[in-house]
Amino acid sequence: MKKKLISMILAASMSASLLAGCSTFESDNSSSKTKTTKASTEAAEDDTETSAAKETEAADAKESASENETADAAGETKDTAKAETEEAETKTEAEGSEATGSGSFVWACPSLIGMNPVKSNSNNDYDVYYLTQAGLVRPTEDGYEPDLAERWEISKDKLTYTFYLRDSKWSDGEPVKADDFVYAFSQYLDPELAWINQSYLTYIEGAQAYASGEGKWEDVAVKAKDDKTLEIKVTNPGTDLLTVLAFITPYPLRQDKMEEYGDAYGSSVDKSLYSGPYTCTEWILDSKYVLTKNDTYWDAKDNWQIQTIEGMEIADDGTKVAMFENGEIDAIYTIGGQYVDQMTEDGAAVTPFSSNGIEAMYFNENTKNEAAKEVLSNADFRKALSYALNREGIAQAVNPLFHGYNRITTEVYTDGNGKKVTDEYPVECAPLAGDEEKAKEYLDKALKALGYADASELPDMTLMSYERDDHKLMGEMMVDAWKSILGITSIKYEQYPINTAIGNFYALSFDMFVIGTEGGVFPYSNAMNFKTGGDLNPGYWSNEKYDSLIAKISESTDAKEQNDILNQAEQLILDEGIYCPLYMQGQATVAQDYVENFSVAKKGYGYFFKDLKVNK
Amino acid sequence: MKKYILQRVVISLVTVWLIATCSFFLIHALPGDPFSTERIMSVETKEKMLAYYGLDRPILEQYGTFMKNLLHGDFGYSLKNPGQSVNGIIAEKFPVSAMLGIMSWLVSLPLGLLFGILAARKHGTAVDYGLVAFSVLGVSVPVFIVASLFQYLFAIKLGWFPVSRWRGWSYTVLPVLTLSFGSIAGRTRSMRTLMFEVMSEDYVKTAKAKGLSAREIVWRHQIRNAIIPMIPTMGMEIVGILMGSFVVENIFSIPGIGAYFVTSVQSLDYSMTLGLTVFLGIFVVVANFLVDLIYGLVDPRIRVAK
Amino acid sequence: MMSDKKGHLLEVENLAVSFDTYAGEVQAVRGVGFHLDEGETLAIVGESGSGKSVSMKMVMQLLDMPPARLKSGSVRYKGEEMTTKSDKEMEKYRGREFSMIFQDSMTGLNPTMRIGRQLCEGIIKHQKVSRAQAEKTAIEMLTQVGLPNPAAIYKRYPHTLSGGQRQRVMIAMAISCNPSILFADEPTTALDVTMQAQILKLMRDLQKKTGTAIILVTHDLGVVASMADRISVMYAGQIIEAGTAQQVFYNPSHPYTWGLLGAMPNMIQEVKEELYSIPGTPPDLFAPPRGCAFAARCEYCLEACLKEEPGYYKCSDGHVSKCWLMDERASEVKPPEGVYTRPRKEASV
Repeated sequence: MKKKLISMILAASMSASLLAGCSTFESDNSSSKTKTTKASTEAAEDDTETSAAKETEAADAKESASENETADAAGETKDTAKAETEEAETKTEAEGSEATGSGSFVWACPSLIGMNPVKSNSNNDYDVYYLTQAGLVRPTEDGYEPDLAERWEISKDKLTYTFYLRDSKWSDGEPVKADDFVYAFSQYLDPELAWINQSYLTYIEGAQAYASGEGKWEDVAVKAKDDKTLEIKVTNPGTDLLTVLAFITPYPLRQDKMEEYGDAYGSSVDKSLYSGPYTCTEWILDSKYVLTKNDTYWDAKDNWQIQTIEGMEIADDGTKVAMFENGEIDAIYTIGGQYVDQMTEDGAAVTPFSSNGIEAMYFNENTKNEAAKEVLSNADFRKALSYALNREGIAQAVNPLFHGYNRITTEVYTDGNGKKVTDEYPVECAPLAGDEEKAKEYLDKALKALGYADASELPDMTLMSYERDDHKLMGEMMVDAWKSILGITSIKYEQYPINTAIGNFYALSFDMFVIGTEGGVFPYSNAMNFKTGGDLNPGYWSNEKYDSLIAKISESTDAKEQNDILNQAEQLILDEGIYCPLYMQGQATVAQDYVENFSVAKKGYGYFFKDLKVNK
Repeated sequence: MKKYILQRVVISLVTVWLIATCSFFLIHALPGDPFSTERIMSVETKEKMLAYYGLDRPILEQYGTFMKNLLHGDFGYSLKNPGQSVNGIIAEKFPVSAMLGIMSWLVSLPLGLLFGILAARKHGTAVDYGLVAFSVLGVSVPVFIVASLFQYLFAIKLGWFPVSRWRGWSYTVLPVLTLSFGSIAGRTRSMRTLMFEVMSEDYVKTAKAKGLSAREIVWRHQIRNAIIPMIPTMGMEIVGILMGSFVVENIFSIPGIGAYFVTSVQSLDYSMTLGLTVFLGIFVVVANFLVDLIYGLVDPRIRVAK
Repeated sequence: MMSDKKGHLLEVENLAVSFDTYAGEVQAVRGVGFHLDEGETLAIVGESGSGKSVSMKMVMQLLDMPPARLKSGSVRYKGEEMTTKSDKEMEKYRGREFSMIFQDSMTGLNPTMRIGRQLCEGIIKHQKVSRAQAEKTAIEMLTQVGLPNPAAIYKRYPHTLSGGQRQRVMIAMAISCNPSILFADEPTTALDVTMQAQILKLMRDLQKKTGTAIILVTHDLGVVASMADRISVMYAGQIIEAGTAQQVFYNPSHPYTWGLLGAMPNMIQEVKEELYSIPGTPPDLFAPPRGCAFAARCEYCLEACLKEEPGYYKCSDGHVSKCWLMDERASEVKPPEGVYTRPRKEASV
């Protein structure tokens, strides 16, 4: 009897938990769902939601490829038709015709980590903020255009920028004021708060002092002249503040809400405010987010046609491809190299692009490995290792989307005349395919200078990097090249989880380290990193000449002069061989053929969806 | 009986405390810090962030804070996802994994037992060999291969089920099948072996001598005795299942908690890791306790109290 | 072989059972025959490996037939041939016409099932009565086997009872459906002497009351002496001597039987004297010897014994021995002294 009772209780609790488990399904599970006041957006949402709900109820095993198919099923026509007519009505009311184009865009994209611009450490987040927020200027593919700042004036001495804000509202109805920008800058420059792009704001007068904790906020030259006027002063007339602002996108922030929510600001949909073309109406952490068009955005009428953007965070590349081919998603933000050929064959629009980052090897002259210190400090030795590498070969082997690279400045930068900086200012460096002869020459010189008879006598050294798909193969190929071409057998490759590896990098516990860095705002941004005490230099190298060149760039006000000095600096590094560029990472976006104008930022941040169209 | 329960509760609490302490020191012993990510920042910036989260304090002070918060059930905020409380993330993601796990368990338990019984009954026939082959295959083939295979075959090629996500009952079919595949195989094997062991026991002969049919013997005598040795292992099984399969959730894009077990350690998200570990620890302790109680109930030879 | 004009309750003729193992065929039973009439007790005696258990289990078809194989022979119960019956058909006989009690009552009872339930199983199956009715019968059975407080025992689990109590429960299970034949496989071997005597008394009393025939398989001659009407002695898969208890005990006619009787410990014997044991070991059943199976160990072995198997020689009415010594051509042999001077146990205790 007792046993029967127990089994009954067990069975009951099982079924109860299963029924309760229904609530874990995605369409219902939204702790962060907010009601939007727009009828059209609601109708559009209902459209997607009803179809999904009806699907589940009917226990239909077949996943319909698009909403249209569901609508055709008997019994659902009425509801969706009603929702559609509702949507059509409000649409015709609000704006002109939108005859072509569906209202929604669903794509596979990176995870959204948080919606607090100050705290966020992730480039992917800033790509999303491009859609949900609006700053003074908005970056575009070629440069920038006015956003919340309707127009601006630059003083004659090029030190004062005055921005005139247009009328615009936050998602809670409050107007966007100049004070919101001032507050934002105070947060971005806060010495306690470590904003990711803080170092770029140091062009602003007083910012450097304040951010390092020595100055006062009152001395920072970001002031609200009135509700609609913002004034920023820079220290150097050569600074192109607008380019900087377009690159780092310091979005305005609302002081009252940030203080109200404190640490929790940006952790859910209703604990965030939006100033941009879209508001976030749903967000399931590490699963998906939904952006809905904000019709009060100043540019909403003629541009930003997509009504709902649903970003799905799909962990597995194979699944992304499967869903794409099934027609369940409209685009993918980056697939791995191994899928490029397959998808191109299947007829998808695959667009490879290089990120603006360079994967490079750093030598550590101050390594803890005493035996190797002298060797690593020898420039000829370093160059020998560099010239022995077939960069293009390694890059292609590691990932078909990657390409070998051999200098510091990347190709996205143009000089004042629209010409590529890399074309106008060449440098002497290792050829992409490597140069075995030269490599051996350098090695001989080095061995002689160091007093080794033969390469096999060199001390043990470690090439270190962190865990990432491409690094293992890359490391092995490099070690192999040095062994077979130069006869160096004492170098081995080691790989650690990222936090451990980077920790070693900062602690200077490495001989050679491979790490990727992104390009910065200006062509010379990268070069700044190598100066003594620079962001990327925890102490593996120090060179007075280099530091003085960098100092000159900062003081210079002329773009041509800056590029000239940069060229010298770049050449110096390459001659020293302390930094050995390897390859540039590549990615590929994929879009269905009914998607038009799908574009993402190649440098800086942003999903450029202003002209995005979905013709279904 | 009361005394026994009290004893167990005290031991459980001590165990959880031990788990929390060991995990704390272990994860803090790992080199690196949560902010050494691929996104390089200056050393000052990194130190500022460490200070903001109190990670630059002496380790014992951090431990004290951790313990104090633990007593309130507060695991703090995730370091990777700023502003997200660890409790919140667990509360949101865990039910999904739990549901996936329970469903898999409900599928694999009876099926595994049935197959095991069937194989034992039809010993030596094609059915037996087939089931044994299936169980070896099921246990050896890695989960990600099964998952990819099912996804490719049933979702992409045949289109019977959705490819991924977790939006309704039809979405649960493939992930559940994948997860239970290995369990069914393993359980078939154990049940079969246990049935054999039981078959040679004397009371089976007695039952036969009484004139009971083979079916009656199997169902009334054998199964009950064969299942008993399986109960202790079920405790740990449940824990493993409820904690979500990282691979299955990854491939089918299911918003469960599995992924966090891996990513939180990789990214050295201290609060998330510790929260998950203690949560899991509590689960294991409670599950084992319940299993011991059930074991005592089912096997009259073992009485927990006295 | 033994056969009467009048049909016996159970007749086993020329039974041969082999086991097919990986190492080859084991001829466990090589031509065994015996019979049983109503109300009587037949004891089958022999050492381990003589094939006595297998013979008995073969009658009830309790052997696992894949390794075991019936090579030849017939088993007739009430005139009906049993060997051709299927497993399903045998179910009707097991527990109803035949029942068996085993040596180890601890493992013979299902440890996770209450006593009462195990008792009722058979009753419900064969008598098709309700649970309540079966319970009544079961409790009555428990009383009959002499268990105090049967209603309480009904609810208990096997491991909470003593060895003797468990064996009584096994007996209760065996007699619950009033079988014609009770097969007892070493029922007292696992018990101490006092318990042994009680269980044997119980079995005799029940037999008197119900008239059940008993086949008792054992290696203990003391048990045989107190229970058996007739005795069949088995060695190496064959019956080498058979007769009434009186005949076999007082006039043993086979060297092996002499050895068995001689090996019984003597209460009177001097403590310093060594216990007698038959030298040698039983033959390999993979390849049984050509001649008499006991020849290798026999003190009185003749040339003929090694060459050819002896037949059954009649010693007296109902008493046979499979030994060349019984042949009139063989010289007279007297069994060793100790055989006759053993104190004889009383027939009833």
